[in-house]
Amino acid sequence: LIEPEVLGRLFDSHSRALGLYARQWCEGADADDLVQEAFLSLCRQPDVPDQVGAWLHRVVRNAAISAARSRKRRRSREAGVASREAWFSSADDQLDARSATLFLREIDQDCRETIVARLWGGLTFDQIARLQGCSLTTAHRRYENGLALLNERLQSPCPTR
Amino acid sequence: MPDPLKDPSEALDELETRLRSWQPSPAGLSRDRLLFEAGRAAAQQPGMGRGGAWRWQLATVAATILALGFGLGWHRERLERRAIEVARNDVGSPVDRPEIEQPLVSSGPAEKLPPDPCSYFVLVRQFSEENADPGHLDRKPRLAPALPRSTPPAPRAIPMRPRDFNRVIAL
Repeated sequence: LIEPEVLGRLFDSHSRALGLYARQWCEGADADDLVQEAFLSLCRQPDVPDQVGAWLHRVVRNAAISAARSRKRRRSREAGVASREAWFSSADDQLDARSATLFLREIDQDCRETIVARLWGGLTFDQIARLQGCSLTTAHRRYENGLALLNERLQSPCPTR
Repeated sequence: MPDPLKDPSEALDELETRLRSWQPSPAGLSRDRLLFEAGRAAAQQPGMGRGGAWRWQLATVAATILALGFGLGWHRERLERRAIEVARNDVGSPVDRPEIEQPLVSSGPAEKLPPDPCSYFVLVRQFSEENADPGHLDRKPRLAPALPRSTPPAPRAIPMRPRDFNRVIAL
């Protein structure tokens, strides 16, 4: 079994990116619970997987998609409350965290997932392609399209948001 | 507005660097909570390490099968024994049944017969009584009271002696 020190180190290095990644499908405490369950699943493994980051992202993705399907049956009030949650604790000096969250939300689901997994999860394009079940070219294209849209939004932020 | 003179790849690199500086929110994630949950999950599965679970399950199944086998064997042997006992009770005759032995000695009170006046014990007792008296030498020896002549003496049982071989023949 995985030692507590190793588990704590992996949690420190991956938990925030996984939380952001889980928020592509779930909100609030649901996303945190998914990340928690992913690390508990990691605890039950006899050895640390070779590509532990990609492994954790896959576990979170599968659980998040499954939870999102069941969450559709819930009341819409919960989604309205959760939509005001900021995905980032800090952005940069030109942008606040809430605006960064809004910009990221506006991107297409697949492109946004690719950007989050690549930039904050640290996954390679090959790992992202296997995670999404698409080709390497498609993963590249989604990433570039998403970044272009983000760049456009950052250059000319919408005042209505 | 995007700068049209800037290289697109360079612009993407700058954007990537800028986006990477954004810190995802930890929200409700807690390292202590994770370690606590992991420890509790590990404590709920004692001895369930690598390959431990199926070994315990296999041992449990084997022990259960063994216990059932012993139980069935014992039950079958008991049924056979009971059938044999019933068959013996049905077929068996009174001769085959064990007889209750009668006691050889009667349980009633022993009958006390008067001792023979000529027996050794009576004579010894009589002799010792006479010797206990200091003036016994002056007295005439006390004889046993004479039996009345009218009645013939009762035949006395004479014990059998080895020398009475002729008597044995006469029988």
